[in-house]
Amino acid sequence: MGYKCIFSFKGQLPEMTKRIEFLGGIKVSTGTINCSLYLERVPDGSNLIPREFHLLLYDEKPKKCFTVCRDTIVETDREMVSILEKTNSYKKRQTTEALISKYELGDFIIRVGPIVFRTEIRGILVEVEYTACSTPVTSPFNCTKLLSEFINGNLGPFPEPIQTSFDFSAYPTLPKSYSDLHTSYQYVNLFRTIN
Amino acid sequence: MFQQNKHHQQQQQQQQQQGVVQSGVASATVNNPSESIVAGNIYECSLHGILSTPSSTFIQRAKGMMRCEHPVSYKEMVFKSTVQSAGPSWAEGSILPSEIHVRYEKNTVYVRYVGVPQIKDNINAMIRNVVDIKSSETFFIYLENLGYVKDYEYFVDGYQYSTYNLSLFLVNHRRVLNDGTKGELLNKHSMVELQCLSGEEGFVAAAEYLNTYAEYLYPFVELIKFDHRLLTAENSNTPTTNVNVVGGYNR
Repeated sequence: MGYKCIFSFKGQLPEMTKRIEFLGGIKVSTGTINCSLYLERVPDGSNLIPREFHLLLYDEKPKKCFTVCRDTIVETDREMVSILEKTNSYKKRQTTEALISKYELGDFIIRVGPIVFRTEIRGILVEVEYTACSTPVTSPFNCTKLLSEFINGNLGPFPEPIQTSFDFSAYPTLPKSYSDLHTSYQYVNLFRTIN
Repeated sequence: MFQQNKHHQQQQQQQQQQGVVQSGVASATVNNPSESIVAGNIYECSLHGILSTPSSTFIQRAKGMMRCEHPVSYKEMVFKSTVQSAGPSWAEGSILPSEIHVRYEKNTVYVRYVGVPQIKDNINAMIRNVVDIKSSETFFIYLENLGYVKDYEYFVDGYQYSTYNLSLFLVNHRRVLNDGTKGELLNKHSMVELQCLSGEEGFVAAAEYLNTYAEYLYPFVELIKFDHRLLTAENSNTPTTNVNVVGGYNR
């Protein structure tokens, strides 16, 4: 898989989709990205700060789920949701959903759609993946400059230039090569900021 | 113990509400990720025993009954929650809690949620709700972050024999040493476990399956009530059989 840049902006979705289609983007599918916050059940009147974690579900990966807890991320089978419900020690508090359309444009894959939180649209999600850097010659982490030029030059203008590099140093358990685990961290960080 | 014959998952999903399910990983399908997927409950029904005769004789009998055999070798860790549940305070300690079993085998992490045992009239088998998943290696850290602590652990070595809807395990348990390597045997005798998966309505049929097979194994195997937590009893210098022998199959 290629390196991904994920961001949101306040704007109009039709404008963005027109721009992608004008560049030659072909719509290939639609789907959702679902991010739920789970909080630990603590006894009433307790001073304990409840533990929390985020659970991500992608329509494109129907058998997998990704769980982000503190500085750890885990990829498991989707039935993890069932285990969490059965243990009854955590309760789902809120869910943020992105209703995305997927476009293919040369070496890029663009996913774009509204971010919905409690029936309210909180912004437009954009994920741009540069697939050519999945080859062994180039490190996925080295293509941020090219992504920056593509996003800010072709998909913009945005109120502020989009930062395409992401600092993963706070997450020591991540593998060396870019993966779905890195993507999930990027999504959780994005959803945290917009809620 | 886990089973992982993934070939039969689709039939499982069709059969799980009707009765006995084929041996394999308990699984549920999800169409809408935001919906609850607890609806498809799968239960593990099992009978435990100790081998009271030489294993070679028993293996011949087992091979005659079962379709296939393969070796099993893994480390199993059992985690319990420190999160306070909503149960009544008077019940604490009297109910065997649900557990998360993590099995590390061939660089893969298999996770099983094991629910509280179900008490059913006229059924000898241990019946527990199970959910099986595969995970990445960071699952241990994640569990600790969630508030789970490791309760006990042990190594398992032996063989699994299986048919269409039942598995038989012939295994030995070994202590885990401080450095994480295999220690001495935890019990003198090999353990035998008969196991099948059942849907909500399949307990009786599952128990009958198990009892029928158990009768074939008599007198090689003595039926017991077995608690894995006893495997890690501290201060036991000599390997012992930490089991409560019930004897016979007509409990």
